[in-house]
Amino acid sequence: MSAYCTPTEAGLDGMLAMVVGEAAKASPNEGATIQASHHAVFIDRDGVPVATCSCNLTAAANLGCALSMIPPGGAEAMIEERALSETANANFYEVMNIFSSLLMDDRSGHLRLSEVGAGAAPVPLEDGRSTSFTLDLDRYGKGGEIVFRHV
Amino acid sequence: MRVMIVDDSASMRMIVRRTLKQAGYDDWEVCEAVDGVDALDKVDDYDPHLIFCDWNMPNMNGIDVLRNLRARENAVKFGFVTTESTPEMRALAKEAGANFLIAKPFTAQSFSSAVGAVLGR
Repeated sequence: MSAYCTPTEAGLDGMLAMVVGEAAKASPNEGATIQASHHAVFIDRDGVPVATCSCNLTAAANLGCALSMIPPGGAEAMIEERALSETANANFYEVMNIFSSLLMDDRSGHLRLSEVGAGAAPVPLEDGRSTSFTLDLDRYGKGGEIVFRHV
Repeated sequence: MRVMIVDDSASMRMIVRRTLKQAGYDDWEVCEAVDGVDALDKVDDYDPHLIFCDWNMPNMNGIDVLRNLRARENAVKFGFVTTESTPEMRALAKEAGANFLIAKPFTAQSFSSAVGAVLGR
């Protein structure tokens, strides 16, 4: 059993409300895989990877834009071009940093964000280590998918 | 109304600023500090009415900022904005002289309630 928390729908909803706005919602992802484009790695105090968070391009672009209120049209353009702007990339890093607290509570081990990178890769959701959500990010729209995995 | 936001994360400072606006405090003057040392460097000149401070920060953490201020007999209204919201942490904050603690993740309502109570609005 992992020493870290499994993010909950309510917990993620709270984070989304803070980062995007109160109309943003997460729902359990019923799919078998997500086509991830961006990945974050979280490490423990010894520098050992203990968890990851991966997002598809829609989630990465929308979260990266929403943090600093880049208009939804900007996110749409990044999705079309299949690349995040420098600002959206930096924002996405910060969102992953904020989301690290979803993996911890008062009784769990402490982890921190180590790195965030881009790279297309399918991520399985049914391996017993993954918790995945679809995202409805209010004016940024639906289609975002995010998966947290214990390593 | 002058407020200071103390957080080592630029994004969190931005989110707190945005949330203050959403809570209706859009005419407040805001100063930012990147950690506890920066906050103590700025506090005398800026003379804020209210400080929103993260708990865990490099160089000097939030509880030490608060203790330092109170040791200098600075009675500025002071609240933590933090993921550290256990009863023990809340008791520690209160004992050190904090006026409120807003737990992350927060909403505009969290800020309205805490700020309204401390300012008597």
